[in-house]
Amino acid sequence: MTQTLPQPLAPHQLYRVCDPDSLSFTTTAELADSDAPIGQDRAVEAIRFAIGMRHRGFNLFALGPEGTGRRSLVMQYLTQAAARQPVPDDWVYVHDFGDGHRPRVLRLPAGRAQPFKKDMEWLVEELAAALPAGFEAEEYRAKKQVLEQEFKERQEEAFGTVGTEASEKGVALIRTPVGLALAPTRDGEVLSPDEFKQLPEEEQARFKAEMEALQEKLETTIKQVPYWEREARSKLRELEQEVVAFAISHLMDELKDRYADLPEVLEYLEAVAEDIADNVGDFLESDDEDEDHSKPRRRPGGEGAIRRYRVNVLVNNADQGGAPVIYEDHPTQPNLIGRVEHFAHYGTLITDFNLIKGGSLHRANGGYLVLDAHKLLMNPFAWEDLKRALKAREVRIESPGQSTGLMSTVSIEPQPIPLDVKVVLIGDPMLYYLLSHHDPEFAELFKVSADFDWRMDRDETAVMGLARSVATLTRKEGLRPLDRSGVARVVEHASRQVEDSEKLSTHMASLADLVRESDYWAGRTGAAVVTAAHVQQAIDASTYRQDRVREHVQEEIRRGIVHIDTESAVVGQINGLAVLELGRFSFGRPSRITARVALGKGDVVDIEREVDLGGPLHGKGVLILTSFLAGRFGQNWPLSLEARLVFEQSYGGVDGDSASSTELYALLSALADLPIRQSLAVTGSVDQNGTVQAIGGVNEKIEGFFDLCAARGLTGSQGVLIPATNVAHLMLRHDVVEACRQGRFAVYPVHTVDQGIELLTGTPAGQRDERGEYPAGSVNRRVQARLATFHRRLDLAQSGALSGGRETRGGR
Amino acid sequence: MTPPPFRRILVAVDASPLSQAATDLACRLSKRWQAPVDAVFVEDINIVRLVAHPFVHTISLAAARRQSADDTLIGKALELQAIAARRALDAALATTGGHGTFTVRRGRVEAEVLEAGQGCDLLCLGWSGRPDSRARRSRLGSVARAVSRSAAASVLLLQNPVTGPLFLWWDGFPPALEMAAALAAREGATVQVVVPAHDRIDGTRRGVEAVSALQELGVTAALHAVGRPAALPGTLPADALLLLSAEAEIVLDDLPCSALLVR
Repeated sequence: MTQTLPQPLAPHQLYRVCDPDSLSFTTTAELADSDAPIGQDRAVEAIRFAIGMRHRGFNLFALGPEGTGRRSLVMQYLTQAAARQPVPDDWVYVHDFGDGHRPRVLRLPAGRAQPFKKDMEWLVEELAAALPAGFEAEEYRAKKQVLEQEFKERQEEAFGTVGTEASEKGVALIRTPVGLALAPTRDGEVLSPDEFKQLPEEEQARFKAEMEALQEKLETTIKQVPYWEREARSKLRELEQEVVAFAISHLMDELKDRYADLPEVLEYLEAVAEDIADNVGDFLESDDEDEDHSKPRRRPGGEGAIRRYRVNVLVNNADQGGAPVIYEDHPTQPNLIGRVEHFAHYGTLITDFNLIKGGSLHRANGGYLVLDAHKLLMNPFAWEDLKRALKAREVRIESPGQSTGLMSTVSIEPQPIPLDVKVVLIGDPMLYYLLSHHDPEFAELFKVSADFDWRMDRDETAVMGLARSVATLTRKEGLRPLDRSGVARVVEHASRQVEDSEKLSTHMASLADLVRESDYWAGRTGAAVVTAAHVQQAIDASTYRQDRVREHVQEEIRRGIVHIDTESAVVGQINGLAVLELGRFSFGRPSRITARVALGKGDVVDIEREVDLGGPLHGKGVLILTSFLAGRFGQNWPLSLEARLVFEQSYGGVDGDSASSTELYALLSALADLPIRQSLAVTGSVDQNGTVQAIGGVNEKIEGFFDLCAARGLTGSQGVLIPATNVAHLMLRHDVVEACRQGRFAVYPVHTVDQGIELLTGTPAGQRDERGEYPAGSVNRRVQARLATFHRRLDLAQSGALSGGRETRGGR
Repeated sequence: MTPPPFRRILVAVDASPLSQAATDLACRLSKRWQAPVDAVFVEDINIVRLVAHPFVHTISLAAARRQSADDTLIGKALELQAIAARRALDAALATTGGHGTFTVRRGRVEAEVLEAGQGCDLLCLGWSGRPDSRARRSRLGSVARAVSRSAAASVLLLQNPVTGPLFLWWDGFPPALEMAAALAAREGATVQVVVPAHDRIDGTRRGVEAVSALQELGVTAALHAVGRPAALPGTLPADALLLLSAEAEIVLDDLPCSALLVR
């Protein structure tokens, strides 16, 4: 069978032009705004599904490469859906009078939280005026004095009785610095111990007995004092409550009328009324200097105590037009679930329910919360707390220290708020797959994925969709419209971005940048519309800004510092092509690959691999070509060679199998002792059967070798061998296409290794005949013969060695 | 020139709040009339004796608990009270610029105060050693009562710090009127006259006469109230100083303010 040699590709195969005449508009100004994304049908369907599913766990993960419009698309659909949904309720925190450390949450219809807060402030202000007036009234003061006098008289009467009895029995009741004491007296003076001893023993015994009895009475009386005091306080409290009840009853009635439809609020107001009655002193002016005992005492920190009647509005949906859609740009744990702030008071950090701050989960409650997955995972505790909230369907505000048990500071535990929110995470696919694999709760909580594609088919619909997106952008940002040539060039660039002439990029961010930059260049020339020339100028300028390293690489090759031969023919040497990626810019770099063969045991040594400069995929490619050699030439005897392959002057690592066909050509050249045309460069991987397979970066690789040849002067014999399956990916630069059109450069689509080696050596590869032999003079025949020679030599060498060994072992 | 009303002042101190207020006032008067102040702190002989009895106990008012009367503890407490009283005197003298002495005596309190007060023409002491913090007024203490009855000199009983007006209880005792005039003249104050009378017309007449007499002495004066003796104390503010005869027919316990019993 005769091998058909590949022919150079025609210009139309090297670049798929977008014909401006095929576009049905003159400029983008004529196009309506784009109302739907292009090329993201699958993602859109997923977003709609997630919005429609109100069941538990149907949260959404929008995965896709950055710049594909994930966030704007998600926000667009969520905002549209949210506008049709009801406005969620307001939430407030108030003091829990039963348990001050657990602030209580109240739910109010949207827009009523703020008025409620103002109403409570009004109540406190009114009470601050009404209560002092009540306690300053003559009636109250008189009643209170009577109560106090009663207590005092009761006390004096009790002590007076003891004192009188003591006096009658000749015993004095004396106040000492450490308490009361009873002592025997005579004529009003306490007897000294000596005087006491001089008394008759009966008299002494009588004194002692009397004093003992009196002491017991005194103790009994003193023990009664706290009870009397409590009784007096209780009566006083009843009196105070009468005053308070009168002062607040009409205020409370007014509030209760306003909130009659909210039982929770009514219950809270009842608690407030009771608490005010219990702590009325908090509303009275402090009067330490001129102490007026007629009024109830103010507790220390009274101003702070009044704070407990305030209302902390956590969520105010008064101005909300529908369900909220919140994008949290900084998803730290406190920003997400809220926090409790503190303030320093005499060196101590204290807090109360007024210092509770809501998080984005609170604001999004009843609607949607959009988060960047990467940022979320980068913030400690944020992911775990979000999951906990979604699983429990409630937001519980805890500091990181509390949730991990690291802090034991006394703080507050706000009552959790019921949560009904749809969370949308936006992240790259790798994050999605990692979470799916490593976090069992993820699949349970994020059941819907919106998979954003990075490319779309290049058909008429997509092209017009792209044109409308450009039109929308120019209008939105006040840019010049693009004429049809400009749009066509943008379309072509979108194909080049995805390295496929049959596809278009959906990376709207970079395409938008291209349009903005084109507008800039159009503005520099004073043009009213952006044309293809401006777009091209934007592309060239962008390339120029980024290609310093590429220039240096090319310069080193041109100056011979890096040796790349583009003219002669060399045995075992071939030009390979690699791609270097520097940030968002990538370019092709020619590399010289050499192969040397010698007698051996069938090993093909990849020097890059040996020194850990070759990656696993590169190693795999070398093993495949070894297998190819064995399959083709090792059927009758074992391969008896040792081959070594190296990327010359390569000091960085290499990976990927795109050089495996190149390495195979160098190896075949070395075995066949046939020189390879250095005017050609090669890329492509190879399988065990010798079929050349597609690789990535084909455009950059071709352009990298073209730039070198163009710099040295195009001869017409220069070109690049690429896998035939890569032809559809070609979107080459115009200068490359033009050189090919003029026959000064060529791109060859190669299907098999045999085609490639024939192009490279000018010698037919040769097909095996029915006897298993290759035609004389063919590459394969020469390789077969060389390997046979290696085998014989190795066989002979091994026989000699074995013979010597036997003699040695025999010792005869 | 009118002789000064006070040439030597005694103040009885016990480190209680009212005795400190009395010290402050005594020092102010001392400065005004260049009269030295003698402060006396009396260790109650009854307390000293009772702690020597092995069978005597004290009963804590805070804990209602009986404990043996520890003479060391009580002695130390008395010593600390004396130190506090001395400091209060030093501070008051330093503030007013007056001069005085401090003496510690031991014996029956009222007797020691009276003895120490011989040669003095004013004895100052607190209304009570233990004012009731809950009530507006306290009963007059036993020492204050005894001293006010037995002293040969005038006695000033301090119930509250004196920051308010000067009142004269006019029952026809000229030395009280003269002292009121002397104090008011030095202070530039108005003397408010209260007249105890069962006959309002007669009382008013006597009141007008007193006002005239005061005005003749060069001070401004006004008739404040005329009425039954039991009703008049209710018209007096707590921060006032009432000058009255030591023999006045009045129950001192009913007074809401400090009183200067003039002899």
